[in-house]
Amino acid sequence: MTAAEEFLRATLAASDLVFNLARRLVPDRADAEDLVQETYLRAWQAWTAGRPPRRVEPWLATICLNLGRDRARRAATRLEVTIDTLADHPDGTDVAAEAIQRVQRAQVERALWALPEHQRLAVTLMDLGGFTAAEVARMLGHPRGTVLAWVHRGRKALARAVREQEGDRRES
Amino acid sequence: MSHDPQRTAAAYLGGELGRRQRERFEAHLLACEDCWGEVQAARRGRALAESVREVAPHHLRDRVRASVELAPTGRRRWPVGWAGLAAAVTVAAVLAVGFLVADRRPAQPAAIAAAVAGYRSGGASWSGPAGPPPAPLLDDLRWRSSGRGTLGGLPVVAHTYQDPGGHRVVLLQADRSFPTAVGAHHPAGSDTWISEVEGVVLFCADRPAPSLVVGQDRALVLLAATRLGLG
Repeated sequence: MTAAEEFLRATLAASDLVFNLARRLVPDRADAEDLVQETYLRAWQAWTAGRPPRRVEPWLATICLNLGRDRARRAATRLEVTIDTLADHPDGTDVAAEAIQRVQRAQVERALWALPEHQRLAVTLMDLGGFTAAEVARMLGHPRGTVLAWVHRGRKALARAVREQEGDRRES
Repeated sequence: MSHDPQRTAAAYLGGELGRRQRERFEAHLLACEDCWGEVQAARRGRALAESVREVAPHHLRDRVRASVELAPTGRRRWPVGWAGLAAAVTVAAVLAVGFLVADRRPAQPAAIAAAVAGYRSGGASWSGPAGPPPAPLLDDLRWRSSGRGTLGGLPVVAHTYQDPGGHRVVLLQADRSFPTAVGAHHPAGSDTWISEVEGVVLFCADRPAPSLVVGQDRALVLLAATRLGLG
C-alpha cells in the first residue's frame, strides 16, 4: 500500500465530518468543497512530513477550522447566505413531503448562519461532528464551560429561530 | 449549589454531570419549569442541528483522492540544532546575495515560458483547426475550444476547458515530451511533474501522450489530469 493509499484509508471516512464543518465555515457549497480539498491536501502534507495524528477526526477538523477562518478573514466581508438546498432538484420530481423537508432544512441552515460564529462552530462540532465538549474546547481554544454555554445558547437560538420562521410561514 | 438552569442544563446535555448529579437534576426537572424549559429548548435545537447533517458528495471524495494521489508530499529534512541553524543562516545569506545580483525568477525553458504566457493571454495564441478534445467534459470542466500553436518551437494542440465559475484549464498536447520546468516537483514513483510558474500551475505527463495541463487553480489542474488519465 502506498503512503497516499494509507493516508486516504485512514482519513476518507471522516470526509462527511469535514464536509459538514466546511459547509458551516463558508456559505457557498462550491467554496466548501474547495475547503475540504484544501484541508485534505494540508493534512497529507503534514502526514508525509512525519506528523500523523493520534486521532484523525479532531486533527482534520482543526485543520479545516483554521483554513476556513483564514478564508473568512481574507474575504473580510459578511457574505450573503444562499440556501442552495432549495435548488437541489430543479426537475420538480420531488414529492410534497420531500419539498417540506427541504424547506425545513433551509430554515435550519438560515438559523445556523444567523448564530454568532463561535456558537455556530460549537454547535456544528458537537451536534454535527459528534465531538465532546472537551474536544471542542481544545479545538476552539476556550474553556470547556464556555463551549458548553455557547452550544446551549446556540441550540436554544436555533430552536427559537426555526419556530419564528415557521410562524412567519403560516401567517404569510 | 445555586440554581442556574442554563448552566446546569448545558452540563446535563453535554454529558458533563456525574451519575449522582445527573440523577438529582433529573428529579429536579420534574418540578422545575425553568430547568425543564431549558432542556427541552436545547434538545429541540440539537435535533434541528443534527437534521442538516450531510453526506459528502461522491465527486468530492473522488476529487480529494485524486488531488492527494497527485500532490507532492511534505517530506523535508530541515537542519536541526545550532549547527543546523548556522548552516541555514549561511544558506539564507548566500541565497539573499544571489537574489540581489540576479533576476528573482529562474529562466524557464522556452516552451514552458510560452505555455505560461499563452495561458495568461487567454488563449489568443491558439488558432487553426484542431481535432476533437480527448473528453468534452472533465467533471465540472466543459470543453470550450481547440486550436493549434507552437511553444518555443514545439508544435502543440491546445484544448481549453472552463468550469461554471469561469476558471480555465488548458490541455496542451505535443508529439514529443515537454521540457521540465525549473523547480518542478516529481511526485514519488511517478514520471509526471508539477510546477507553479508566476502563479500558473503546470502538470506534465508523457503518458498516454505528451501533455501539459495549465491553469491557475491547482485543484482543477490536478482534477483535469486525473480525469484525462495522465501519468
